[in-house]
Amino acid sequence: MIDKYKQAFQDEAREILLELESSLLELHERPDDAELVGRSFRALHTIKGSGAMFGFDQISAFTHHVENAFDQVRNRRLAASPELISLALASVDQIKAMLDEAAGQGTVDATAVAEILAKLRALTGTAEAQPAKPANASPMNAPVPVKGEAREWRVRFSPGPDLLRNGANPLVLFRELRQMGSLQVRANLTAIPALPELDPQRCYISWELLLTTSASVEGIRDVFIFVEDNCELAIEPATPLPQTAASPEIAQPAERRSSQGRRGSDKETQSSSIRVAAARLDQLVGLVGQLVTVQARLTEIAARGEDRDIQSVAEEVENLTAELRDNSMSMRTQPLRATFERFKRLVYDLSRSLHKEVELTYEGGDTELDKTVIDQLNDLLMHLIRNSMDHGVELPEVRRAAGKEPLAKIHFSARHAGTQVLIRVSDDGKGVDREAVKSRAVERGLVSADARLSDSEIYALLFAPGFSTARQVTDVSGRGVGMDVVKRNVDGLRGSIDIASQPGAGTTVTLRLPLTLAIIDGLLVRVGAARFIMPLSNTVECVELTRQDIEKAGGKRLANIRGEVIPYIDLGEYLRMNLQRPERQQVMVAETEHGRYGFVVDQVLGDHQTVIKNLGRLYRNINEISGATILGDGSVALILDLHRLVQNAIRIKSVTPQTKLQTPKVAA
Amino acid sequence: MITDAISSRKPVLVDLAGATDLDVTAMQLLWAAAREAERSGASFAVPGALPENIDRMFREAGLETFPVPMVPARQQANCAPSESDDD
Repeated sequence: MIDKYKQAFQDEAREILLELESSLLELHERPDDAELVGRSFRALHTIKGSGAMFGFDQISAFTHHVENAFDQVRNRRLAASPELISLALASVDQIKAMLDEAAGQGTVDATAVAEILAKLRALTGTAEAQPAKPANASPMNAPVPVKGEAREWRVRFSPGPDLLRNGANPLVLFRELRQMGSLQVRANLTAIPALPELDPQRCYISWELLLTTSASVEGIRDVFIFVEDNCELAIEPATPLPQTAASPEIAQPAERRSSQGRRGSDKETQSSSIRVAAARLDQLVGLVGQLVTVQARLTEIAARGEDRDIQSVAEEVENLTAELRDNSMSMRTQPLRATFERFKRLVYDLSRSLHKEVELTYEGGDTELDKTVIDQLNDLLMHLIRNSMDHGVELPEVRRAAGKEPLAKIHFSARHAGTQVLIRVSDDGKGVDREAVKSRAVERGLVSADARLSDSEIYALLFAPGFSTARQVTDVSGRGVGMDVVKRNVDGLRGSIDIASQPGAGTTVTLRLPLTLAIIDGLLVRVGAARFIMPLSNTVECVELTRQDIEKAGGKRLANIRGEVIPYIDLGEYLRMNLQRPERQQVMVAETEHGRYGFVVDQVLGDHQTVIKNLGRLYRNINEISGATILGDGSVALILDLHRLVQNAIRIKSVTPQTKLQTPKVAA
Repeated sequence: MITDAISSRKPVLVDLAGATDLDVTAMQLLWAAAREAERSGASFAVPGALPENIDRMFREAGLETFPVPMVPARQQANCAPSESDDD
């Protein structure tokens, strides 16, 4: 049980460290922002206090020093200088390493820790002889309370019955509170039962505390952050406050929750959510996938027979399975904000090492994506940022000479597009030097010197294995492995990558990734004897296409739908299935990135919950097909990537005959 | 064991002389045991002076007074069996 809570501390501490990192990076931009200083201090204070409570003494002792420095910043005795921010960020890395070490992964670099401590001591003027003590070692470690008028707070703390069993120690919390000011503690022992009924591991005592401090109600509540789910906690002013001094925070302290800085501060939210290991969710989604396949078989069998009862049950199972699928999938989705935020640190570190000034901004942080996709997205974005920082963004003096702001911008954006998410990484750097790319490609024998290449063909060279225009290998990039890895990873995710660039103005890399790698809503269609799945979210409507309509269009692949001319792709023709065209066909109209397009099929069979199966390496280059699924009768249907179909169809139409582009061939 | 000793009205001495730390679990237990002994008329006590750190911990936990009667250390020899709690 205690291990479980130590794991909870590990998880929560890592989240707090991420927030701390983010606050520190913002503080780097706005060193006078008191709110950011307070947020950083609270994060450090929480890690220190809760680390001590759960037995992570090394973390607690180390964090104590960083917290001390930020306490000095809070009290305007020390500036939030770039040096301090840099030390604090390095400390974050070391605390992460300590957490890793405690989890049995890796070891802490003792030299790095000692160096940080020495620099912190030099910065804060703390004598070297003063040993680091964990938060619970002595109340003499008390940091100076926040400046401002001290208030008296009444804190009612009633631990839940499992508090002690979970390894928490209320006395450590009281020691932390003592560091914030003066504290009177009164224990209520009335709930302790007679000795024979006493469960020694259960907490029967509740406390009423009187705390005089200048800390805010949020600061007080932070002390209880790791036990808040397992106790009743009320914090209110002990004495009425003078009318003039009453701030909105103090007027309703018990109900007040900070809107920022403190994750999970809303107790209602906390108590209604639990942490679940990602592996368990993966297992759940895997089981739901199997259930969907079995359900499809049941529906198929029920449809073949005449038993109304079986058909009714099959329908009910289908509805429930769909609901279960949506619920289980939504459990695994996460907003991209945290992923984007994480890269601010990388940009900060690279800016310093490359002597460039770069700001990372983003939009669409609320866009949600399956966790499995997000996990793989991290590497992709890291490579793109490194490339952008190294090759795209210019040095400040070069930017000034070119009439640009010395501060360069890298911008992430994310938005949903059907069953996919579009993630763009843009910079306002010098753009891709087409001539340099081509001449490098000629040098490497990738293209002939007289080849006439379109922009997209030139950009495609950037993804060639080992390709780099950088003459010097740097620590950041320039080994020519980054974009190759990016392309391979994107392909592995059944996504696509495109580059657009303007000389002198910058480069935008667009990633199209599937929202999920597991199950989607699809539309089952038939072409000849083959069946295909179209992602339902892309489709708009279905109209009939007769031979007469085709003749009317003069052989052009255009459908007139209520006066709107929609270009279409005849799937049987595109996939070279050599079919006899039936008298009547159907055009499935879908939204693509290139606008509305129609897809001609022989018959639309209906909607289908599609469990996505990978096609394997052999089919990696057939990008019009994004996967396969098993149907209720045990046969296989290919999943169409409508966007790539349109993109390839446009490309085939525009290329010269000698380039020999071919569409895939599917057996009829 | 404490319950058995108290119910059999045997005198119980809790030797805290070597205790360095005492958590809430132990505090609850001592409090309940002292009350049980008082109710049943059994002898339940701590011999000698309470170590300073243990006394401080009780005060930090908000227990105004130490719940178990104190007896001079020499009385220990007259009491048996003894229960130690050096949690």
